[in-house]
Order: sequence, then structure tokens, then C-alpha cells
Amino acid sequence: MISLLLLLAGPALASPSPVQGLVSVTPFHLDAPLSYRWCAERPDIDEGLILVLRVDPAVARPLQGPEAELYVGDRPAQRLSWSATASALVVLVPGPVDLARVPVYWGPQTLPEQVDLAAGTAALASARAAGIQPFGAAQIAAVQQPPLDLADPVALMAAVQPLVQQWAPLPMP
Amino acid sequence: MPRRPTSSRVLSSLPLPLPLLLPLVLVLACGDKGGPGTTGDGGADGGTDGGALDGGADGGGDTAPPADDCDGHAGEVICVDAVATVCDEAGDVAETETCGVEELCQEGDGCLSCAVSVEAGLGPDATEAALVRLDPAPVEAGDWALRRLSMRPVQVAVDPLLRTGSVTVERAGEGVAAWSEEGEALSLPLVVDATALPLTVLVQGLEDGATATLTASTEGCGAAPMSVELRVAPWTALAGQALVGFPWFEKVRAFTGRQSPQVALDPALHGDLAGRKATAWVVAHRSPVEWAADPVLVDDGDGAETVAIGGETLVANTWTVWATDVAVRPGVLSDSYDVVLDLDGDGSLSPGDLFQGPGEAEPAFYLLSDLSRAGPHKALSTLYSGGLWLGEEAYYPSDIADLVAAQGPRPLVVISHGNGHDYRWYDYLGDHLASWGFVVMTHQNDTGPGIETASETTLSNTDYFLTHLAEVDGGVLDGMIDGHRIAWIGHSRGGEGVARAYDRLVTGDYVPEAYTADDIVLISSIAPTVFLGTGQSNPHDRWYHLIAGTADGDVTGGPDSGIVQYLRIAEVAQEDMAVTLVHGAAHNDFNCCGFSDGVGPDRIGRDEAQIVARAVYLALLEWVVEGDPAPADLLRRQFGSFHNAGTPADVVVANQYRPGPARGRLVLDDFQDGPELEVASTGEAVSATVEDLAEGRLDDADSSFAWTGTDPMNGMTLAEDSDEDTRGAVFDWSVGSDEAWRVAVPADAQDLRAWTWLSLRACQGSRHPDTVLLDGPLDFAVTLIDALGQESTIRMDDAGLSLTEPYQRTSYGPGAGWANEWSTVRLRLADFQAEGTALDLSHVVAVELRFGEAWGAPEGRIGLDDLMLLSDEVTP
Repeated sequence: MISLLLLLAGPALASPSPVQGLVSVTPFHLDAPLSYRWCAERPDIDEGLILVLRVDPAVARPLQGPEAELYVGDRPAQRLSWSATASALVVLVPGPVDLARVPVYWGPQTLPEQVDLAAGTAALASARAAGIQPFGAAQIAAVQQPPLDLADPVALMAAVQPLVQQWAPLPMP
Repeated sequence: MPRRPTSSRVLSSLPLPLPLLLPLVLVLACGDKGGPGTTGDGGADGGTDGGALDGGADGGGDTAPPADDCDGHAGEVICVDAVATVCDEAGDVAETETCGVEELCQEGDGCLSCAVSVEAGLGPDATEAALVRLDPAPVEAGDWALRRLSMRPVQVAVDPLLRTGSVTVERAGEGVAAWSEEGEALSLPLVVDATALPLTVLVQGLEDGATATLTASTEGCGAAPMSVELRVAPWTALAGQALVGFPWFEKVRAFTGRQSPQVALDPALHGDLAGRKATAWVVAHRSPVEWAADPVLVDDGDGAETVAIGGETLVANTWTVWATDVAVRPGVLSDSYDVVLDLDGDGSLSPGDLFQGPGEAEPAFYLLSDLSRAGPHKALSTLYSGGLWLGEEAYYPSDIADLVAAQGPRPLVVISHGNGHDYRWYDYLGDHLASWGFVVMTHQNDTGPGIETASETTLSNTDYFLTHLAEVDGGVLDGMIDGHRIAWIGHSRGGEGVARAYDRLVTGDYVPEAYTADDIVLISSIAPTVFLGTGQSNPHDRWYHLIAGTADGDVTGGPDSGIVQYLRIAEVAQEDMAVTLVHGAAHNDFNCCGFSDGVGPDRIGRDEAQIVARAVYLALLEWVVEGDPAPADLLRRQFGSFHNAGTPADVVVANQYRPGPARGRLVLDDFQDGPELEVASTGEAVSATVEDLAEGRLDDADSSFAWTGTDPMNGMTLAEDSDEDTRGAVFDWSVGSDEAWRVAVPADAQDLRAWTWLSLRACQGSRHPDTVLLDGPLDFAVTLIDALGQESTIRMDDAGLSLTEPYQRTSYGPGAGWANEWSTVRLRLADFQAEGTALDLSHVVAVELRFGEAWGAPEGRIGLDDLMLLSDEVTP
């Protein structure tokens, strides 16, 4: 039994809620697919988007218990940065996805591996009902980056690291 | 040849050197052979040459010898019947003496005392019969050198000049066996020629509580037979520390460098030694072979010291045997010591001495180093990756090849981090454990999606590491890892992940390439989540440990969500389980770099939390994985009475330890069955005068820690889902009243002598009015009652045991006090009989817990669970 839980270390989050902004959009393509584990179906994906988003660090702070989960459309986005203090968040969105048509939002605090299509659809419906709008086309175009054509998921993660280090690095010993 | 004066003959001819000749408290068995003036045994026995007494003689006076007795015996002393005749140089009778009843006539010497002495080393103030150690195991030829040390020496002697006659040694009573010093079993009665005396009989104790008498008498001698009474009982441990109240002394197996080892003798057990002195030695532990080869005593403490055994109390018989410079050798986890009380003062371990350690399963005590400090090996680390979610860092001792050559392949410790954490955040554990000889691997842990993915990365990274050792750091670890001794440590979601990972091994949901479920010998979680419930996140039959901080601002342990009630996982562990709850530690205190999440007063910070963690994990791994029992007490005993030397003084920890059924235990009441308040889980009767007694699932019913009076299980966080049925009892008592809770012991379990410990776990009820009033640690008393109504009580405060006050954290309702903190209380059963307290441990009918000002805290509210009897098995 998973109970909804208010954030423990930050302001209360009224789910769903929008992110604060879009910093960059980088499409990617993989020759060897990625097993996408951030939803129940675990599809193999060979394309998607890497997004850098403006967020409230108190909301984006990773927690052990139920935490704010970032959704793009009807599925959780894979978190790539884990900073507890940064105001930016780097995520992977399994594609294809049209950011101008689906909202990016903080959704239900369900573990992503338990979010199936039905749950994702319900989350999207809630977001739309809350009036959360997709980013505008011009806004997306303004931050569009050249696409990445990569061999495999390892190469993708390596390519993402500079973004993570730039926008939301983790403290290291 | 001078004639010996009759009156002094006996005294001067006693066989024992005067320094060892102590006044004996003997029970004399009066025989028919009376003293002078009495009728003898009806005639000379004629059995010895010249030693026969004239049966009709009165034992004194000169008589006129036949005129020709000295013919051919000029200048000699001869015996004619019981008459000693001194012949002069002319061959004439110079004088004669009729030997007394307690004398024999010996050619050349005349009348000699034939009285026998039987000496068992009793003290001059002895109040008990000679104690014989219970040691019933059959004696094999190969272990005689050590087995003899546990036997009581009894020396039988006559006048050393006496060469004629014989002595009969007899035994009355069963339960003992007699041995010669050479290891031959003696069949009694035994007739021993006078020339073979003195004889030392080594007495072995075969039956607990047995009494016997050894009697010696000289054949044909009118002196009374001499006897010594014996009693058989197990020895108790010598090493320990004094307590401020009954039982006055606590036997312990380990000390830290901050403590001074002490030794005590219970006068009730060792009353036979009262008035004697002994030299106390602290000797570096020797194996049985080493002791047999070299019994010479060498003090490895601060010097042997003379102790005087006496007095009527344990306090009077407690000695500090190592007071200064108590330290462990550099670079070792612990040193082991044996203790010897050298009673005969010969400077060697010999029969008659008291000891603890030699030939026993464990040394007398261990001296522990500061386990939070680095070990003797230089720690190296290396980063590498096998691909997606296979980023790893390995820590290992730089001299691992030498270590493996000496000790064999090294165990593997795998650390799985939590959500938002990084696998490079655990240097404090990786370096530390590697410095003590372990190999540690931390890995990228896929916690973001959830617990299933986290478990997968624990499983896959363990596999990857074991199958790619040739590639890690140039292959330095190849062939160095014992893949059958793997410990998993997980933090937060990783802490649940390791439990889920093991569950998947058990169910077959995941089949590794390089190891099996049996190879996972220990699972430990640091403040784990419980997303999946304990039906899936389950350590099953693995040794399970959990550590968490009460100031955790992430996995809080709070009342509002079962996901954060980490103790639920510990509750479903089927075998050994231990919990370390650290006051004031936050979630990210257990890694280097997570955000500051702590909530609550008196936070100890990362440095202190990691000091605790380093010591706990080293102790746990050494004990459970390496099989070294030395540091076990850091997990088994209450923190307040024993903790690592390097732990800062302001740290408070609540410890639980529950051995699994496989170790041998007898539950008296665990509240799992028999929901009626007056019936224990065994079906036996419970009676109580405590207030507000309730039983139920240990699950706070609402989302608040506030005491409302409607939720008796307020503050309990051990159960959540419907299939989690950990149950216990709660009750309270108020100022001005002394109350009790009693459980009957089943009739077929009333002989407690086979057990070592009485154990229970208890907690204070957070935010209950009585807890708030008490405002501090809580004590009560434990009483055993036997079939005769005799009872013995140990107060927890006197024994140095207390239940911690709940951590004074607020929120989730008014008041202060976080989730109820369970602590294990263990009392040694033998301690209930200290100083001869009249309690029959073989017929204990009830255990009673007593509360109130007369017994400890004047008021309080507690939770109670797992009242059981335990053996002393330390081997993991």
C-alpha cells in the first residue's frame, strides 16, 4: 500500500504542477535500444529527448520515500540528474514525443516502475484538467539543440554527463 | 638411634610443606579404631611387616622384652609385634616402646605415626565443601593434559618415613570420578602401598549437584580415617565487571580500552577457598595445545597481583586485574586473554587453580580496539564501469595477496546506495572495511524507477564484479574473493533493494551467474524504505541488520506512512536480527554528501554518525561473515552498558538483538498467540496488576504520535500491512504504586539450567503521560520465582540496563517523542543465584516483571515483547 505523502524536506506539492521552464531540448537516436525502466512496460526505445528543465529545487530534491515524479505526457521521465539543490533538472523522455502537444509536469508520487499506461493516461488527464499547458513551439525552438546519433545507451549516458555537470552536478567527496 | 617422642611424631611427619599446610576444615569419619586407651580392631591384622598393632595393647608404656630380642641386632631399632626395641651396640635391649594406637612400628625407625592426611586445598575460613568443577565429558587420552586442570586435586599422605603398611582410599557418593596424575582412571576403593604416598587423586565432577566423600585410612592403624567432602558444580566465568547492585558482578566476554577487566569469585560457590590467597594472572590466550605444552604463567596485563579470597560478598571478592594501560596491540581488532587464579602459587597452571579460558570454547575475555579506527592494511580503491548501471568502485587492502595467502580468499561487501545518492559516496565505509581486510564494491544503483530496478542492479552488479575480477584494476582481485561469503549493505531505497534482491534469489525470480542465495550471508539496511511491503522486501532466513537515525528527515520512521517505517523489514527476518538505532543521526549522515535532512534536537552530525557506523559494520562483518566472536557484544549488549571505545560520549543508541530459532531459544511469551491478556503465547497463565494492559499488533493506528488514549499502540512502527502481524503488549504504572506482570513457565520448561539468558525487548511509550513525567531512561526489575516460592530479583538499573527515553523529536501531533525505540534486555540466569541466593533454577515456575518506585522508574509506559530463554551460542 502506497500512501500519498507530502514532501518531507520541502514545500508541500499540489500534484500535478508545472515545471518552471525549459532550458534545452536535445533529441537523440540510438542504434542499440535502451530498456526504458521508468514505466511498468519497460519498452525498448531508440529515440527520445534529453531535456534540461527549470525547477524548484525543493520540489525536485530526490527523496527516498514517495517523491515528486516528473511526467512528460503520459509517462514518467527518466531522471538523469540528482542534485538536491540545483534549480535545473536533466531528464530523458522516451520518444517520439512532441513537446508542443504534451505538458511537462510534476505528477503522482507513484514509483515510476509501477506506472503503466493506464496510470500514465490518468496522470496526463489530471495535468490537463489542472490547466497545465505544453511549452510553446517557439519556446521549444529557441532551446532546441542538435540531435545526438549514438551507438548505444552507454554512449548516451556519456553524452549526457556534460549537461548534468553543467546544470545539476552532484557533490563529490 | 634416637627415639622419637611419641607426642610430636604425628605433627612432624606430616607430608606437606608448612607453607602449604593450612588449617583444614575436614569432616572426620570416626572409625572403630579409637585413640589411646580404646580397644583396637580385635587383633593385629598381620598384613604389614612390623606394622601390626597388638590388638590388646592400650597404645602406650614400656614392657620388658624377651631377653634375646636384640641378638643379631646390635645398634638397631627393631620391631617385635607392636613394640619398638632399641638395641645397644652390645646387642642388648637398651629401651623399648609399645607403639600407640595411631602408630606403626617400622624396622629401623621405631614407632611412626600411621595417621593419614587428606588435603583438598580448603581455605582456613572455608564454609563449603571442596568444589569440584562439573566437567562430565569423557576424558580422552589426547586431552588429558588440559582435562586434568579442571579436576580437584586431593592429596593423600602419611608420615614420609613410613614405608610399611598401606592406605585405603574410598569414595562414598556418586557423581565424581577419580584419576591419577598420570591420567589413569582409579577404581575406588584403592589400596596404596605406603611407599607410593603421597598420592594425588584428581577428582572429576560428573554430575551437577553431586556430593561425595573421599576417605583414606591406614591399614592396621588406629588413627581415625580422614575424609574430605566434595561437591560438584559448574564453574562460573571469572572475568567481568562490578555492578552497583545485585547481582554485584556481571560476567562479560569483551572489554574496550576504556574499561578495566575485573575478576570475581562468588563466595557462595567458592566458600571452600575462604581465607586463601591467590595470584591473579591475565595471560594472553593460548590454545589447548599451547597450554598443555607450556603452563607457565606470564602476565600480559599490568602485572600479576595477589588477591585475598574471603568475605561474604561478591563485592569483597572482586578484583581489578588490569587497571593501567589497558590497550590492544596496534593493528589488531582484538586481543584475547585467559584468566588464572593461581592458588598453589607455583606460577603455572595446575590442578587446583581456578581459571577461565584454557581449554574452553572461548578465551576469558576479549579486549577490543576502537573499531571505528582504520585497520592495519592500506586501503586502495579503483573506479571502473562495465556499462549501463555497471559503474562500480572497489576498495581492497593493498596487501591482499599476502592476506589471502595467510587467511584465504576475502569476503565481499557490496554497497547499494539510495535514491539521489552516488556510489562514490561511501568512502568512509569502503576504506574502513578494506583497511581491515575486506573487499568492498559500491555500484551505481538504479533506484529512480523504484525498488525492483534497485534490486536488479544489486543482483547484476554482484554478478558483474565476480565474473570480471580479471579486469578490475589489472586483475589484482582475481582469485582473491570468496564468492561464498557476500554481504549486502543497502542505503534507503537501496536498503529495501537488498532485501528485495534476496527475496528474488529465494523465489528464483533472478538466477545469478556467479553466486547463489546461500552465498549471501548477511544483509544490512541503512534506513530502508518499505515500498513493496515485507512480502517482497524480505530477508527471509539471512542474518539481517538494520541501522537508522532518529533524526532521519527522509525515511523518517514516522507514523503516517508505512513506506518510511523501516523496522518492518527487521521484523520479518526469520533468523538472527539486530537493530542499531542512533539518536540524532540523519538519513544522509550515512553517506558523505547527501543534503542535510536532519530533523530534531541534539543532532550528532555526519562525523559522529559515521564513527558509529564504521564500528557497527566492522563488528557485524567480523562476527557474522568472518566468524570472529570477539566484537559480537557490540551488537548483543545494550549500548548503555557496552559500546565501542571510540564512540563519542554524547551518542545514544538503542540496540536490539534477537537470535533466530536455529540458535536454540524458548519463547515464554511473544504475544503472537493467545490474544487474551491472561494467557501467554505458550498457553500459560499471565497475571498482571499493571494499568491499561493491552495486546495487539505493534502498529500505530493513526498518523500521529500524539497520545490520545484511544490508540494503545501509539508510537509503534513494527507492522503496517495486514500480513504483518508482529504483536506485543503495552501497559503503564503510575507514581505511588508498584505493579507487576507475571507469566508462568511451562511445566516441561522449568529447568532453566540448560539456558544462559533471559531476554526480552521493551520500549518506552512515546508521548504517553507517564513517559513524559518520567522524562528519562526507564528501569524495572525482573524476578524469577521457583516452585518453593523462593525468588530472586535483578533490577535493571543495578545491572546497568535502561530503556532509552524516546528521541525528543516533535511533529505529528503535540508533544515530543519519536517512534518507540525497542531495546533488548538480557539477564544471565546464573546471576539470579549470586551470593547463594536461594533460588532453584531447576524449578522456575514464573517470570515476573516489577514496576514502580521500589523497582526502578516510579512511573512509565512500556511496550513488551519477545520474552524468551536463550543459549549462549555466539557462533554466527
